[in-house]
Amino acid sequence: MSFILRDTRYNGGPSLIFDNVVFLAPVNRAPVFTSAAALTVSQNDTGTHTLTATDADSDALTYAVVGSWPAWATLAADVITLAPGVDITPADYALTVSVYDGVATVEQVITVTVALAFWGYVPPINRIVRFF
Amino acid sequence: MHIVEQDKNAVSNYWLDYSVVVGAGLTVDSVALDPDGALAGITVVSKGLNPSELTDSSGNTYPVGTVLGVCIQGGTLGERYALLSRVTSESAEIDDRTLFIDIVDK
Repeated sequence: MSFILRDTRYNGGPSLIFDNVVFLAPVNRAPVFTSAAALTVSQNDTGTHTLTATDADSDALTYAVVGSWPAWATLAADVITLAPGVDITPADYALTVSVYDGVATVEQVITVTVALAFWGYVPPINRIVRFF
Repeated sequence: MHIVEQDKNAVSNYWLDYSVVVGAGLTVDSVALDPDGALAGITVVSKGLNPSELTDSSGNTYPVGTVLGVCIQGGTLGERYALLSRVTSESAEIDDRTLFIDIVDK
């Protein structure tokens, strides 16, 4: 694309001709997660975690689940609810979330540690170790 | 000597009953697995004392703070691991007990 910049104060005045002009769209700055990437919740318990992120352009942010999450983990708006039952194996689980500012999407992997609830259910007698 | 067998892929819970040893008012000082560091690859996922009276599947009851729950995972097939637990009572008595865990392929 080309355009001409003309000084209109003078008829036939000097003009500047620009060739091969490229108009650049405003540069979007991607959001950045600020909420924790490591959480712990016990079996037979419920925990919530609010996602937060900053955006240098002050864009509205939306959060979403990426991939498949276990059934005991859900996301509503910006709040993750964790409710592992006693049947969930104590371990680390990776939950991926994304934040979208209307242009860019950024992902974060959250490591959720499900801790054993020793008192969430009745221990089988064969797992009781007696010391004398 | 307390020995249990655990599958190499298992994540297992054990409840260590200290009610006879120390009685009520137990507090955990530490739970150390393989304290000499000679063996690797097995971990304590979580641990803690019972915050309320516990009843096992046979109906036995255990007072608050007398059962140490430990969750173990990992380990190398054929190895024996020593789960050393050290507890301190309210009267500052310290007691160590060891649970040996044989990693097997069940």
